[in-house]
Amino acid sequence: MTAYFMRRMIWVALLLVGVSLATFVIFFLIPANPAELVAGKSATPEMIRNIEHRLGLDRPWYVQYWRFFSNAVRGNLGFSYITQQKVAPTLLAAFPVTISLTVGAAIIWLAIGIPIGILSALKPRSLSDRIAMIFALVGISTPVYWLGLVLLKIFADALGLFPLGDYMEISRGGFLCWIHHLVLPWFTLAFLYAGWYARMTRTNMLETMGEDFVRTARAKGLPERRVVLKHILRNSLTPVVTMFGMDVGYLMGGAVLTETVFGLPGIGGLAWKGIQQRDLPMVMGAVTFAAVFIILANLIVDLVYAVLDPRVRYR
Amino acid sequence: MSSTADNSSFAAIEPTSSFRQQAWQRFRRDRLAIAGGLLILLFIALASAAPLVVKYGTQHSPFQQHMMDKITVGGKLIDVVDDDGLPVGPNRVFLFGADLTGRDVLSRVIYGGRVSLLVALLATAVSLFIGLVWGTVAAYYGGPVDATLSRLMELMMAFPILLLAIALASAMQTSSLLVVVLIIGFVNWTYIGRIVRGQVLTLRKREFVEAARALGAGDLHIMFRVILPNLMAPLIVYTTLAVAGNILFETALSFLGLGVQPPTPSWGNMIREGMSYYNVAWWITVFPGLAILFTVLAFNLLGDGLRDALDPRLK
Amino acid sequence: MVSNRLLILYLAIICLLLACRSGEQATEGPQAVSTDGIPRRGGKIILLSQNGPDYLDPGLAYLTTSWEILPAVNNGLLTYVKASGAEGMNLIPDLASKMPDISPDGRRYTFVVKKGVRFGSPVNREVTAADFKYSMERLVALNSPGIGFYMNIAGALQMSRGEADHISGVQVCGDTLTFRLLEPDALFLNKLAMPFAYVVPREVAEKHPQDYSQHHVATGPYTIAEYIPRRRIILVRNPNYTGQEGYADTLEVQLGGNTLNAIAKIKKGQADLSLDVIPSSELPRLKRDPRYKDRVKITPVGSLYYIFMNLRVKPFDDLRVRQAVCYAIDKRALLKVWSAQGIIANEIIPPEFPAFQALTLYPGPNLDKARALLAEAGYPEGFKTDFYATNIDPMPRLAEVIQAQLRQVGIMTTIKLFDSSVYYQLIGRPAEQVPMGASGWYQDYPDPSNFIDVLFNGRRITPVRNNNVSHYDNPRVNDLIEQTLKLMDSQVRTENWRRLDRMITADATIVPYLHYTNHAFISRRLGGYLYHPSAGTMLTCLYLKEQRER
Repeated sequence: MTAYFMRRMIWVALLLVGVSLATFVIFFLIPANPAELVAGKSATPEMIRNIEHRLGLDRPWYVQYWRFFSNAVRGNLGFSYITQQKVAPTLLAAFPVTISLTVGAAIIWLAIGIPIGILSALKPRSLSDRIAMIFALVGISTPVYWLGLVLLKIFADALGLFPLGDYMEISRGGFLCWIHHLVLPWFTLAFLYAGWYARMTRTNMLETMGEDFVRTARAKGLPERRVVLKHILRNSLTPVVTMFGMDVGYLMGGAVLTETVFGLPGIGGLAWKGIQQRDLPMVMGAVTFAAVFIILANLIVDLVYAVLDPRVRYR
Repeated sequence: MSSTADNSSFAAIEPTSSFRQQAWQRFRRDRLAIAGGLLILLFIALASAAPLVVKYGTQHSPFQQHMMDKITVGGKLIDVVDDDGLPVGPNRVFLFGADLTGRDVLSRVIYGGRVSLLVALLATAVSLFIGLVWGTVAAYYGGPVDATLSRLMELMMAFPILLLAIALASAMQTSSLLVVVLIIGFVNWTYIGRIVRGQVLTLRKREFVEAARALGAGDLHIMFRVILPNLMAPLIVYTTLAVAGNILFETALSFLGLGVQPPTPSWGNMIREGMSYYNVAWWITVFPGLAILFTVLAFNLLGDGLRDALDPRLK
Repeated sequence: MVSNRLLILYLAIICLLLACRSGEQATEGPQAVSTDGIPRRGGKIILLSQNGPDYLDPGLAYLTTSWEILPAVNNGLLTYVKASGAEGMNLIPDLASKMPDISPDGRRYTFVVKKGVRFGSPVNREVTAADFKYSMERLVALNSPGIGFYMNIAGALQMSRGEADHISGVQVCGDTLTFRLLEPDALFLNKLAMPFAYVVPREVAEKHPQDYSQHHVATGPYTIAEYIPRRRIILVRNPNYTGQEGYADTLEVQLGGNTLNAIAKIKKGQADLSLDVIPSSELPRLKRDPRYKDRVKITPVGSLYYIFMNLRVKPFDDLRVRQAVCYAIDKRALLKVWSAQGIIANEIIPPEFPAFQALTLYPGPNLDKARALLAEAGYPEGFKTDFYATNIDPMPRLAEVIQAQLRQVGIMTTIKLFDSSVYYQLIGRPAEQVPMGASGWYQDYPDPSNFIDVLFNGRRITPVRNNNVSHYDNPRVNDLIEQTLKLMDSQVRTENWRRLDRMITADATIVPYLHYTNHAFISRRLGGYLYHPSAGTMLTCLYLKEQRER
């Protein structure tokens, strides 16, 4: 187990290096000189050369990458070319926004998606099942940014029930106003995922119901409620939990589209703005940050499996 | 070793005609899937005949701006775009209203389908190609080949894919249709790759593969002539679903301004252009959004139907 | 039953949310006040800004928002009169005890620094002439974006090259401060009034060269109590300040959040003013709503929006081609794209300047004339080119409208859109050969030279960060500009600027199309709103109106 864990950790580190290296290389394809971005409106070529030297931009790309990497390991992600602010604290300041969005949306999509999936699976092909599944299909077919705009138009602009986007910290506006600002983004994001979770829960339930041990349980005369709760649900929700880990991990790296529509100052917005502004340190920071969560989520899911499921062998 | 085996000797392992008939029977009973299929045909027909539809149907060019023109609605002469820059909403002249430069939204929605569908279909083909080759090679050879390729895919999956696509699109400078196709195809192939690998892993141990090898067939022949036909059922299903995902992906890129460039309409860039006006000119964003929703829905319905028909276990 | 409990929970949440909403509304209150209102001392004014300042370091800040915040917390030797329009273009002493003595050759400026002005906490000591010298030299060390404005000071170039540790042309003797210039410069005082020349204390600035914004020291009526990027800036009274105080006790600038929400907040009375422009989607609704239209404040700004054509890229080297473009553009349509936020421009110098003159050199649109000119130039079928613009609304749309207008005379354009930081870099590099595009210019200081010299002097074309994006290089124009800059007689200067405006516009280097007017929407309780032509919103003038007893 320990050896397995160690191997996994080494691989995690390699993945991070790979992701950051690839991002770095992609950005070297972009013909924009960061020194000119830093230098501003009335820069002279001389000033630009000075800045290039100061930022190490006159060195080969692999030297520059090594500089990024060795600093990043020590938690220093450098300074933004555009705002001159330290990247790491900027990311950390944006992180609560991303967590708020992700966690709230996750609670909603679980609260909607899984019950719908279970009810549908218990009465497959019934009217309620069909309606629920069409609802789920619409959910996974809707462009999330468009849904955001529609909800904003209806609930924020026309009815005036919610703010037109924006974020409010708990420390400033209080808990209720924090929720008030996040309700629309939560539901926007949750609508998409609720669709996926309802479908997945239903499919897994149906699959499990056809398996031998369920038939055995029923044959033993166990009460239906017990069969469903104890045998079917537990077995069919395992893949859903896996999926949940991955999805949350992915969203922790920023939900670019939702953040853009609602003007939430989260990680995704930082990354997107950074790409537009050719702000390499910010992009490197944000992408690496996002990758950390994706990889961690994978790792946690795998480890939990390794502990829970004796069939997984540590190889 | 050269593969000179007689093709006819593998005929027997093709999916039997009775399987096909059964599948078709099942599919035919699925009214939603049929509706999805018909809807797709309709959209494809509309998109490919867009010039004719626009000429004889809407009678407005999707490119013709009406910044300074007036139209008669209900006996009154009104500006298509008023002095404050606001366009007219849906009326008898412009059924879906006009956009901010006074172009017909309906004509643009019809034309926008061309880009979104074409990009999504071609990108899916690219993903399919990469995924197929990668998955087959990895699973067929196994061992170190599989290990290496799997590691590469894990690296791919550690990326926040939307950010990766955004970064690539920004790095490419020009966002021609081909570039967008390649980017979407490239960042989304892991989905199909994983499925192919899984399927091939189970198939390669089957008797008919052993039989082919015994007859002296080469690796390439076995991979693409023997195994591939057996992958058709899952491939058809997942390709259909992948098209749905790729339409959403293309429109998201366009929404962020990284798809095809104006004045070429695409659903995503129409929403982008109307986004900041959703509160006063909802028709600019709502109609292209509905077009995306229905198209993606149609592909998802068809995909679901095909899966149910081709993989009866899941019914 | 589980589902019932859930339902109750949901209902409870909804009730709480509604309660939160009504709580917010209550802040507006029913106590209506008359529109003029009486200035009230005290209270908290809430300002909104989507992107916030770039820096709160006067040496680095170069965004309108930053320049609106800095005058509330910092000072220079001179400042502008707090008024809008032409009156606001006059300079008065700020931390100087009086206007400087200028030597007859116009190359030596002698200031006396006011006594008894102290830096805010944690420095708390008196501001000296030496602090001004340090602040000027710091610009060189920082590679400040404003350094170009001060290169006329003797010795600045040597210091920037690393040949000297100080700027020899800035000398301190007790409380007098002397600037020696290489060339006479009628605008030197305007340049000293820019935030770049504000005074900063050496002991803090040297300790925090990278993040002075986070360790800002005030000299003005307010001091920065808190600055969290992308969240908020809180300004409170500076206890060390002895001059004329602001009205409000606290100014809170809330950062982030979109501009639409800003308007909604101001409507509800949750905020008082947005430092960003009103979104063009919202402006028409506000202007047409009887409840709000009186609260939309319209102020002309010295600005110019234009389409440039690069004279170094074929076929724009041909005057007739450029004239054809001038005739093909329908500026009325462009004004609509801008939601009528401005007036149509046919000249370079904006109407706020005494040197303004309304020109009508290329009355249009005149498509026949445009086609004829193209044919004459050898392009009867038109030609293909690229059109560059930023991706900020309304620029992409503007580009599409221009694309359609040019297509009518056969000029086929491909639109290239960029983020503004990248865009200005691209068009500012002659090597990029950007053929044509949309650009705009807001004055840095209230003088026509800021338009004519900066944008059209051929000798100012630099390999990077070039502002003469048309690459217009006419020796007669260049000579006249340089001659005019050295003139001290304002009458002759004005005459010369008018001549230059006509010459450059006649050469069709750009298609001027809009002089922007600033639109601001203010809350019911806010008074004292003032938009200065250079400094923008004057934060220290804002006040909350006296609430009438009920």
